[in-house]
Amino acid sequence: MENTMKERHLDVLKLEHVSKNFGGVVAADDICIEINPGEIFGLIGPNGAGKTTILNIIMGIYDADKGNIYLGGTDITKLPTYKRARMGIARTFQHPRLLTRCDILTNIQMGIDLTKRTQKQNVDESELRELLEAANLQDVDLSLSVGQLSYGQQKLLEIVRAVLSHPYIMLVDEPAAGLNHREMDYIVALFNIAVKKGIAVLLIEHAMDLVMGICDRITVLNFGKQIMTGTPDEVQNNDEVIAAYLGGSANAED
Amino acid sequence: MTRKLKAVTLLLIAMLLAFPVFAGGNSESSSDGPEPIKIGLTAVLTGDRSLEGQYSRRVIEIVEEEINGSGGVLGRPIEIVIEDSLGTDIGAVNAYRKLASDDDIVAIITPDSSNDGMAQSPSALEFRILTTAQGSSPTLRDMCNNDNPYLFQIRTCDETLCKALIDYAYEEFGPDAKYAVIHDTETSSNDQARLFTEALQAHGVEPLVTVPFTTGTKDFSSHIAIIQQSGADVIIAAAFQTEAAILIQQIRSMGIDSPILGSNGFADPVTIGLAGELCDNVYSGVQWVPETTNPKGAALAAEYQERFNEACGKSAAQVYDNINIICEAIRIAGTTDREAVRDAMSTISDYHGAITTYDCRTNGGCGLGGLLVRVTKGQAEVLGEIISEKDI
Amino acid sequence: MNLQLLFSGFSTGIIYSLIAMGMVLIFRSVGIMNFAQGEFLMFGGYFCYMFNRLLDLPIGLSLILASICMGFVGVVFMRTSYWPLRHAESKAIIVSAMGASIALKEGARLIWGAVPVTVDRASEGVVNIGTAVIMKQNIAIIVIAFMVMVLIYLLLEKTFIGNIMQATAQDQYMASLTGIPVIVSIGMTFAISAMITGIGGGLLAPLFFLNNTMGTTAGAKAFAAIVIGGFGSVPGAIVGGIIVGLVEAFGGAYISSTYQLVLIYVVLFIVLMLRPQGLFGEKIQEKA
Repeated sequence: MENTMKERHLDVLKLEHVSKNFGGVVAADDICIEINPGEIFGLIGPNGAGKTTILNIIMGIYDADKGNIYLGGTDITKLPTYKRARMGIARTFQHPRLLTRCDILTNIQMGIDLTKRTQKQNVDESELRELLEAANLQDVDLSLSVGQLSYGQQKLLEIVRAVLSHPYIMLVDEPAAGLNHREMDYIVALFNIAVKKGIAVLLIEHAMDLVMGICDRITVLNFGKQIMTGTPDEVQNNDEVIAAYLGGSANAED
Repeated sequence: MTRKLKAVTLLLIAMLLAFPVFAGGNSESSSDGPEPIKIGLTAVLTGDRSLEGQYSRRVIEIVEEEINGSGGVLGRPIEIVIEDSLGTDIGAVNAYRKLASDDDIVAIITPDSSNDGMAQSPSALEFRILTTAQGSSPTLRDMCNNDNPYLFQIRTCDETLCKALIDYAYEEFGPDAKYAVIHDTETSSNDQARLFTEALQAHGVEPLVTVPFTTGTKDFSSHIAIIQQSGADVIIAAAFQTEAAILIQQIRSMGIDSPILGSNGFADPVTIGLAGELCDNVYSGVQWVPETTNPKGAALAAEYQERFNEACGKSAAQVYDNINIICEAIRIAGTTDREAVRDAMSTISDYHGAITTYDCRTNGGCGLGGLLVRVTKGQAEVLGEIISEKDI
Repeated sequence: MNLQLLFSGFSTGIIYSLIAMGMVLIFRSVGIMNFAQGEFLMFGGYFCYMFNRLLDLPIGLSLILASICMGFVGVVFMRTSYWPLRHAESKAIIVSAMGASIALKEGARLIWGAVPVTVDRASEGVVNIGTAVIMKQNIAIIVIAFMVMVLIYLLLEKTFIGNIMQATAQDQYMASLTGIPVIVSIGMTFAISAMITGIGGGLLAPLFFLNNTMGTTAGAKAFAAIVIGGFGSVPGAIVGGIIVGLVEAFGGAYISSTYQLVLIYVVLFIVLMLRPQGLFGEKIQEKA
């Protein structure tokens, strides 16, 4: 699989001094992040710390007020969302967003057809099977409507689709929210396949055991500010991080 | 994004600016020489009835040239100031009041609708300004005669034309002909249908069936089916041009070739232009057709056709006569004083216009006649002139 | 007489269906009722007139060319009256569409004049079945409208472009995440919507003639058709349009010729009372 991928730049995704204000409220303040190929990179912080805002800035939903974003060395700061998607950024949501009126296969194909149009029109069967098995969806009839899947299955399907589109990086927003432990294991399995393919993962997650267990590095945010970036061990022992989490009024999972 | 918004805004502004240019482009006045005499015209320039506005604007070009080319009125050129009445009574009143508050305006012409004229009537009284009405309904005539000395109906009343057409038909088709009436429920068509029916009843004939339809109806199959089943062999119809053309087309497509006695709209150039030879065997008592036998009218029709490559419509001829008769009143008055001009108007007793002869000694129904017309081979053919007398 | 009414009611109704279908496509795509859709009918008719009467092209070709022109009109309409307001409240977009409707009406008057005009029929003459006389144009309308509907079905359900448009209609953000340029996809939806409604204008013109305000009443009836058929449902729009056409024809003959329009609304009330979501109504979508 790896040999079919393009040669990877040293850092897949780079945020350089990215800032964003919403009417005076600082949502992101001078954020600098570099993510390597195949790395699982965590983004944590109390609610309202600006995690999802950063995903939206990377995706081009919001324009950054300041700073630049690079994908594989290319400046994508000014590109529209669909071009970024085509260049190799995939995204999944806390609440799955699928085409509920279409069948499962169409949903899977949708992303691949457009992002990989020039290379390959159809889904690689064996790859699809591998991913469906990892997500425990191998027995599901792909001609069913997406609406007939359970909530957890829909979230898993989103990640399957993201991996299948062979992006440089997947932005994954709270995959564990609303999932049971078995389903969380499937997610880890899917991440492992992605990492093997050299796909980087930017993970937002409140479930700390999951984050600390699988992330290579973590950035901690609070009120739009980047408190620190480091390995799970470093983060867990940092006083400022502990203060932010304990002092922060609301860190209940939503 | 903002740049694009700006572009869109600019485009919209440009369009808005373009409108008055189109609307008022023909009312320029020469800068030197004596001050022009201003006459106001309220006409429908936009919306459903904007065809009226198109005729009005075009004919103004001809009238201004004619009058100003031959020395103007009282040695001054005339200038027609046109204001959009939007095709509604409120629009008509607003347009009227805007014109009337300009002290230089000597007289105002109403839109081609009795309703709009009646709506403007109180303002005419308030501003005490000579107002010539283009509407033709008997209600408007009575209002001119009884309620408003400033309002003159420079138009032949529908009653005269409807009666003339039915009298002709009674002669032509005999006392045994069976009639069906179909009409628009809009006020003036509704009135005309009533006048047709009353004229028939005067001969002791009752229509077999009366089928009303609402303005904007396009599919007449159900209405025609009712007429077919009634067994009528002459159809009386009252509607505006487009509905008239659709109605004629659908009646003929159903294989009904009975004579149709229609209101004004049925022999109109627009109607004939749309329905062509299907209009054959349509009879109408009309104010105006471009094929008119009136020499002034024929000259106007030729000039209009020549200049705009389009048949001269009824509204054009009406505006032409209205403007000319107002100028005549100004000449008689010898001044542009509003009161004096009104008084002069009521002395005009035998003015020969492009449509007919006008007698303004009473305010209502100043127009005395029209034309009896039959359509043959897609051409309006004048059967004779209708002329009535006024009891003074 | 009944057969005659059936054909004329059905053929007028299927034109309402074409307008309603165009409105529904836009509604599903951006969640907005396009109140200028009737003006697409009028513009399509006038383009057809331009090719057929001013340039003397045959009517079939004129219909196709008019439809292509309408595609462009649809895109320009989207770009000027929807796209700049896409993040605004839906109220703002509706008002913008109403404004566009006035601009289109007066624009048509400036371009093509105020004198009503007509175009050639797709099929001349009449067919006699028993005592009924049926205009061939009515039959042509039904056949062509049906063909257009089948084409649109195939386009939306069986092609990649259809998938793209459906994806955009369901979730614009998600669509852009899968690499779909949303503006192109929505533009295509508006183009197709204007094209199918515009063809209706060309087909209707020889029967009802063209003037710059013909779209207003037709648009209102198409809206009634959508409510009867069920908001957002394409089959509902088609069936609703035909129901409105038939109610007009039979109601006009048997109940009241004066109150045809009222009859339509009576049917509308009855449907809403018995089935508030309309005949083919899906649950009301969460967007809009």
